[in-house]
Amino acid sequence: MKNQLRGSIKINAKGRDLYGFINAVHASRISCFSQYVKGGSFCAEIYRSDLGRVTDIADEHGIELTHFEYGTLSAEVIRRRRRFGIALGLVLVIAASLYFSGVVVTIDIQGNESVSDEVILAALDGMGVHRGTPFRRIDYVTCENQLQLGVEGLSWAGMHRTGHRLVVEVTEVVEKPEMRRTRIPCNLVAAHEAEIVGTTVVDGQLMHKVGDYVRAGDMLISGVTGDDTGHTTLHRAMGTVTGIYSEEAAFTGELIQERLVPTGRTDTRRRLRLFSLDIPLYLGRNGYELRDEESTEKPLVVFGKTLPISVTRQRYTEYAREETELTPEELTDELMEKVYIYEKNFLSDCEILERDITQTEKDGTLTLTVAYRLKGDICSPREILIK
Amino acid sequence: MFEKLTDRAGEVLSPVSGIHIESNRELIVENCRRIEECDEVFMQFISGHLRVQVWGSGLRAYDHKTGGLVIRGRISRVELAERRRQSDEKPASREH
Repeated sequence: MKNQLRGSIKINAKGRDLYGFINAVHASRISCFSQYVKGGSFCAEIYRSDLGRVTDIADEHGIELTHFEYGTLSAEVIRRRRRFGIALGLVLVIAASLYFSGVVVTIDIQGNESVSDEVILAALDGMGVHRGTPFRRIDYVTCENQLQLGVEGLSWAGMHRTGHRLVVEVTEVVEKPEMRRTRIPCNLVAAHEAEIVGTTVVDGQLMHKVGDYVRAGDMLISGVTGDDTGHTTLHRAMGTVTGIYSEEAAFTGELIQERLVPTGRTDTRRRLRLFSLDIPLYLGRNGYELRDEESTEKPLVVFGKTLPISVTRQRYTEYAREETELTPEELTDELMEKVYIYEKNFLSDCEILERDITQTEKDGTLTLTVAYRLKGDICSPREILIK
Repeated sequence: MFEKLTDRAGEVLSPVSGIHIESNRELIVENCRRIEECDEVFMQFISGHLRVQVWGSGLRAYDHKTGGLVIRGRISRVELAERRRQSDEKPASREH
């Protein structure tokens, strides 16, 4: 390490008065390492600072001296002493380090679930606390109180500094839990006009048997039971009554449709985000009337740490309105996709026994009428109104 | 003149030289006055009133500005010989 800082030089001396030279070096109290004589030549290592004195001694004794400097840290620095860019870079790094150590680089919000980060950041911004704000200007107590009062849904807020991070810890207001309505007495009535094919009663009294035909609103399982003594008990009727019922759905589409079609023109614009500053790196405005915007942000990362400097790339794609005339087959395919989505979303909990699709075309529109024959639970809870 | 005087004073005032050997890898000598041989297999130097001879292989001398000398390498033999006084040496040289 010492050699890396002081610089190490290998010397090679030749001449008649070689031992005179060696003893003169020794007497001059010069640090001289790894000395040996081989083939009438003296080899040793010295520090760079001693080279001048050794050269003088060599001249006095008529010694031919050659030297070679090892690649040490100080040698590299001296070799590059005229490269002002390195010095400038070092100065910039030190200046940046000093600057970033005194300002808010990142705001870390912890403990929030329902209140979003954006709301808290906006409230802090209103108090003058944002990325780039010097830490010494932040009045922590006032900001904490303002946050509690200003942001709805916060019951407590605490702020502290960790390095270049401003940590905002919050506790949210715990809402009163909603009353569960699963224990309220109720009957189960038929949601559809159906033929009963199966029953399972967990609680309550079954009002229809398998094979009965019920209309929508008919009581299936009663939550009111009475005994021989005239005592009436209210239950929450629970059970499953499986029925076969019919349902109809219609899907309509126009044969001539106005659609947005990409023109093929795109425009990419970049913005430099420096703390809270948003600097556009372009001139003029985007003139696309109809456009799709895609935005990506790429922050600057140094040694795994994300700095508050980023480049935002916005890509605009131009669209134009275009009238498209579809053939009945194309429109039928589109409508069939809607039918599939409808079945997936609304009929997934029952079994489709039959599906009858009727296609009608009228005044430039195509309608698909789907008649289903379904098998599933037809029970619907209805509260018992009592005084 | 001054250097000779201080050397002579050093010889008179501190004639004792410390020698420390660590295994066969390192030899530390205090008060090294003169290096006479500095080979990879043989080194010879004057320390106090002693002439120290070191045999070995891959020998290297390290000078740490203290007046002493550190010898590192594979040391196989060390020989210490008392130096003769100059008055004793002079007649001998005259014979030649």
